[in-house]
Amino acid sequence: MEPQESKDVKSEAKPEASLEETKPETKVAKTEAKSEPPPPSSKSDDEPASSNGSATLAAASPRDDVKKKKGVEYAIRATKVVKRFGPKTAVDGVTLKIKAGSVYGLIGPNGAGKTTTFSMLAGFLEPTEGSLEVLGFAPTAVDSLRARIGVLPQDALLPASDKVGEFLTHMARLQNIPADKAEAAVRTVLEEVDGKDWWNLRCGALSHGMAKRVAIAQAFLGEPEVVLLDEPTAGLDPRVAWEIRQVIRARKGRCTLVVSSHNLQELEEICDAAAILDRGRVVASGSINELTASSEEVHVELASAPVGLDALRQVPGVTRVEHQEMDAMGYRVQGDGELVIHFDKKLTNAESVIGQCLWILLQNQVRISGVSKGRGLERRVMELTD
Amino acid sequence: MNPIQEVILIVQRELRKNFRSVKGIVLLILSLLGGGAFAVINAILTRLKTREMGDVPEEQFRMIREQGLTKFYDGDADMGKFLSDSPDILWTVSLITIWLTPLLVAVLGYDGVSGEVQHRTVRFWTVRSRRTSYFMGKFFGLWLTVSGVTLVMHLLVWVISTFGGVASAGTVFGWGLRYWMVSIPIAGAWSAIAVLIASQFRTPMVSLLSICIVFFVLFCLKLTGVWFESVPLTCVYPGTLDNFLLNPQMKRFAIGLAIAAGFIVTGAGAGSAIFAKRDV
Repeated sequence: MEPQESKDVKSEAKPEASLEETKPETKVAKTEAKSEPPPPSSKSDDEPASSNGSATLAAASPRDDVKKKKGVEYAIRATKVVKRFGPKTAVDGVTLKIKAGSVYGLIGPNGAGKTTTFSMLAGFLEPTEGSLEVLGFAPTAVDSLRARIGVLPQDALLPASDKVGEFLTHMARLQNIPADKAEAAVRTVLEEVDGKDWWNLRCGALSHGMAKRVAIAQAFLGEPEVVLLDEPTAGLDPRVAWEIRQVIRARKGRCTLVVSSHNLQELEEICDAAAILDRGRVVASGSINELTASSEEVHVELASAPVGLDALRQVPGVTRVEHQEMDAMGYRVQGDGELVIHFDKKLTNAESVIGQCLWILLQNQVRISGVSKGRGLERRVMELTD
Repeated sequence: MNPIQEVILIVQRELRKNFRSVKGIVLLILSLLGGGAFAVINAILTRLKTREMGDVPEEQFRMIREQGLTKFYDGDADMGKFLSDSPDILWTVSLITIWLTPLLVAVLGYDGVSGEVQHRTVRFWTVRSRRTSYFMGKFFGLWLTVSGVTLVMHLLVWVISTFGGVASAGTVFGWGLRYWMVSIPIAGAWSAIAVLIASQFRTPMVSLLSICIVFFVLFCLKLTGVWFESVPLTCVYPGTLDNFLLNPQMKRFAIGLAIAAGFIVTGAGAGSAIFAKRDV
């Protein structure tokens, strides 16, 4: 997409815009949300988010719980949420809807409002304006959300004097896991994060990577329906970060995961959908395919001058072919620039376009150094944020 | 899970944490050493007194004690008469305990909430327990820890006094228990004030400083009350509640208990209400 187009997308994303569905098929456009059906969780089914959430769920039987899980289409809803710290507005009218069962990313530069939004979703911060619902409840309705939500807070230190096992067992007990089952539950999550031998270690003696894993283990305790992970791999070496990504990936499909991260490659790998935040506002959101336009364009990095562009334009489904020597940020592209091949996703798909276009380019003896579907999340974020 | 279960779980952890922390262990050892040394010295003095002044009738000693205690408790003859039956050592230890309680509370409680807010550790709890339960757990944890430390100190004194021949085991343990129990509501009042103040800050050292300032202000108000002979003003300092709680008159005792309860309900109630609303 041209830089000018990027700016257009950004300007569309007003704070009052209610945004996306998280399925890949859904659209990004704010206008669609206006015609969305009413929320599935009506007051008759669930406690309203504005209420204290009282004890209706706490006493619910497992059957009631299943009903409730089925009843909630959106695991998380944020409507025009504003958070101010004195004169500073950290979050300015964020609206999000996150489908139950999806993996959702919160993306943005430092100070974009990711962690503040995350903290409001976890009930750590009270929104100044707007409303938030997690599984149909206000995030502060602890008794209704207990054991249904797991949270990995960013930079929260584990209690140094506690042993790993006793800390997690205490957390499990607070989640209402019976005393005789708490240890087994803790050992299960510790094994999941590869820390089964850490039971008797003091939290204060853990390395950064181990502490992060223990914190992730507490977030996964008791199979919560929603797991919020704030910067799960921040400050970790590549190997530990990769291992933690595998742990998170293994949870995919078992719960709704919301991941806030700077690591865009990581989010692109893990997430189904994402919202890009900048200066407290959502500047774009949708499925990863939509955000990266991976189902609409193919990028071919060139190591020699492009030849045969007319032939490329004749490929069925291709709508436009551009040769770019500068990227969206105005930096020179390595080598001899790149070809951006736009296509109509209704007529063809990225794989067919790549095959046919590469064939044409190779026939024309063009040297190719790389091919990618779409622009990549990183480039997209660079285009949309200042 | 109901709030009481939450509070119990948090209190259990607090007790484990406090008695395992370096701070808790040091305070416990100091209390034991102080209490033990004091009790041993007192036992030696008692033996010396018995040997040197054996011909002075016990009744005369009791009269002197009664007059002294009456004077100490602002001319309250009932108190003087009532407490003159108790061994001196136990009364003295009780007095020391009541004076040291604010110090114990401040040192043990200043970082209970603020330390966990500062490092965001509190966030692991707030998704699983009501904020009010967390706060009350911290409050009861501190109260029980302080009461536990003083109990250990008192127990040591009781044992040494019994074996030192200060009085019979029944007298020592009976009076000792009574004196220790008087310190419980006083410790509760101090704990409530300390947790209320400490929870307002994110930096433990600021919490400690604030607690010390508030305690000192309360002490100054008490002195002002003493100067102007205003009983209500002296009561703003929980350390004076022993005047009520040790009193043999039921009405005075009930007033003391009510004042302590007022401190506890106001401090813990206001603290938990504020904590429930604040950002963590």
